[in-house]
Amino acid sequence: MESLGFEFARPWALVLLALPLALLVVARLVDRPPAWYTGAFELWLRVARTRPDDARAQKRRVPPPLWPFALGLACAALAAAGPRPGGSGAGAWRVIVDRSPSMYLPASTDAGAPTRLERAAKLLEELLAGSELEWLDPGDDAPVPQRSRAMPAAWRSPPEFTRGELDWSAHDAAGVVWLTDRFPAIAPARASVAASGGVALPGLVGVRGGTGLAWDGERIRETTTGVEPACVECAPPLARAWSELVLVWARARELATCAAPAARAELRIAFVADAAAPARTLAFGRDGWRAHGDVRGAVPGRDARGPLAAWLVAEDGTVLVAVGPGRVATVLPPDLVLDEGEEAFAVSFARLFDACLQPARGVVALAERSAAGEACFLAGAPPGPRRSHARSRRACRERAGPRSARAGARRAPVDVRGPSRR
Amino acid sequence: MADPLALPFFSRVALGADYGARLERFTAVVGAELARREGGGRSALDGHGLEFTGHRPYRAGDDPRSIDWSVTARSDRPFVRLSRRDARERWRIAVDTSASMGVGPPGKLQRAAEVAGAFVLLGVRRGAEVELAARGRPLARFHRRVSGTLARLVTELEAWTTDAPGASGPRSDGAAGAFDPGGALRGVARFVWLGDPFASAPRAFFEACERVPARHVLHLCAPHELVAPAAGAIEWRDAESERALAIALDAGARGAYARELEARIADWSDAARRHGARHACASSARPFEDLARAALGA
Repeated sequence: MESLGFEFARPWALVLLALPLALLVVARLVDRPPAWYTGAFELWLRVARTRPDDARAQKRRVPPPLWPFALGLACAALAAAGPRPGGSGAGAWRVIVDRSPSMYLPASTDAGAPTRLERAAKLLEELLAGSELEWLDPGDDAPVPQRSRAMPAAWRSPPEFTRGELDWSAHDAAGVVWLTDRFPAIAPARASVAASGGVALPGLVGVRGGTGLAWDGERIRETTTGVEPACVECAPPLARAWSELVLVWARARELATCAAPAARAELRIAFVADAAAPARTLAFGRDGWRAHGDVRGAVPGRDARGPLAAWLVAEDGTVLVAVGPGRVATVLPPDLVLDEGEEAFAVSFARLFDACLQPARGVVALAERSAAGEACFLAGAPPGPRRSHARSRRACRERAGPRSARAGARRAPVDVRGPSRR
Repeated sequence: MADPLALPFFSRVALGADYGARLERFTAVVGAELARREGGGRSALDGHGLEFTGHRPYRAGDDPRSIDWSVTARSDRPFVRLSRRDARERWRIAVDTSASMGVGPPGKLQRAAEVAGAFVLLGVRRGAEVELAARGRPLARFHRRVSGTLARLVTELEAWTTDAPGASGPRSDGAAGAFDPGGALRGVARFVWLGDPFASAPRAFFEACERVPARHVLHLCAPHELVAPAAGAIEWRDAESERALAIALDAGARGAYARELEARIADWSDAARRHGARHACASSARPFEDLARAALGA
């Protein structure tokens, strides 16, 4: 919890501030003068107008000795809360961690080479040795900054679901470091950048049926070595119109279908209706199609793997389809009746499945496998809003790839050094 | 169970078991005194009664209007007419029941009711037809020809209540305020008003009842209204509007209040004198017999 450049180690202890406040209120009530009714109120008003203010201010005063006591209590409550300079105050850097697939590729072709993420983290830890670091994974379901010298160990493994590109501009602030592998396309105005760099890593970039598409550094070739076909898990009973659509879509994408529970599936489609719930006839639709059917229950806001986003909602607010990376949960009834837009229905769901489908095992997009250049550090504004923003910025010695080339056009390359200190 | 945090407020009238006896005694004593005085000089009840009872020689202090010039012309000395002054007169006793009359202890309405009872019984015993007026209630009429006067009277008085605190809103100076004579005063020979000096202004009051030949005004104040208590500080709460004012009751404030109150009472007394009315202002802590005597000027 941050306030006025401070943060509190135990913010719950701020509740104790209510104690001196309550004490003052009670003291004031207790000190209240006796109240009497009178018919001569107008006379007293006239008397009061002729009296000095201090004679009129007798109303509910706190006994003077209580003030220092209450002040002491308030100080004690503040001390219990553990105030310290805030994250945007002095010394603490907030590290925004990119956990996209490329960050988990080896940084070099050497055996036992660290991943790009490990390399970038190590670079940062060395450059900002002695500073407090606060690590944040914005792609997490509920991002919570974690304060430690080293990156949280759990982040050294790739997340369960593939992460997309981060919106770096949302984190362009003083005292923030972007931890990534290559310099972002848009250079930050205030944030720092720690990029691991990394060589190009040939490997699988796609799978079609039982055939993989492998990039050898120059060209893409077909291969069957080490290829596992992607799989779609369908948990019955799905609506007939739906299950037929899933089959057609999977066949078009050359995906295998497997019955639940599959050990591994790139897309899991689950029917989560509550059989005990009363059936309600609902009408629904989107993207140009309309349907109706008897629905039991609703899709919850999250499943065992994390939160789900509502995708199809009935007119009464019931969530009928909700999605997350690699999974689609539905309560659409097996006897769903399509009222209109059969083609729109197919296109609508095919797009949904495409969006939710996770890459097959071992597959990393070609853009991610390409070289990320050399390690570099761009020092932005240090933490602390009250400091001058005049900075000596130090940028990457060398960059590779189209994104870093654009960024490099703005900055003169210099040696890698730590953040400027004032 | 009474709310321990509630401010003292006395909205109802509860007449004691001995009230009837005290009333009878008071009426007998004061009635006799008045009869004696009527025979020997100016009466406290300067009435315009019609019942002729005889003549007697004029004495110093007699009202010159009472000289019977026909008899005087036939004799060598002045004679005055004697009359049963209250016979068949109409009296109206009206009481202020605004919220400020609940201030006490003792509650001002409580004492006003007791005094009103004294006037009613006195009037009835003297042959007058007495009307008892309290806002929100029909006029209660009492006269000698109807039996059970005392029981009816007690029942009527105990039905009186004040307005609730804050019900009336702030008063404005110079207005008639809580003055409500209980209807037109045409034909009323004696009007008795029981209230407090804060609820209405003298000018508005006397203009409203200027045609009544005999007027008595008894103003009641709670003890703490009459003399400001020597407390360190107090929060005055306006009974009419519930406005609050906290003030330190030092000597300066108490003195200033005493001067304000004195000026207010003097306004009433001066106005009463100008209009030929009787005016008294007293503490509600005094027994009703004293208060009734003060109102009568007896």
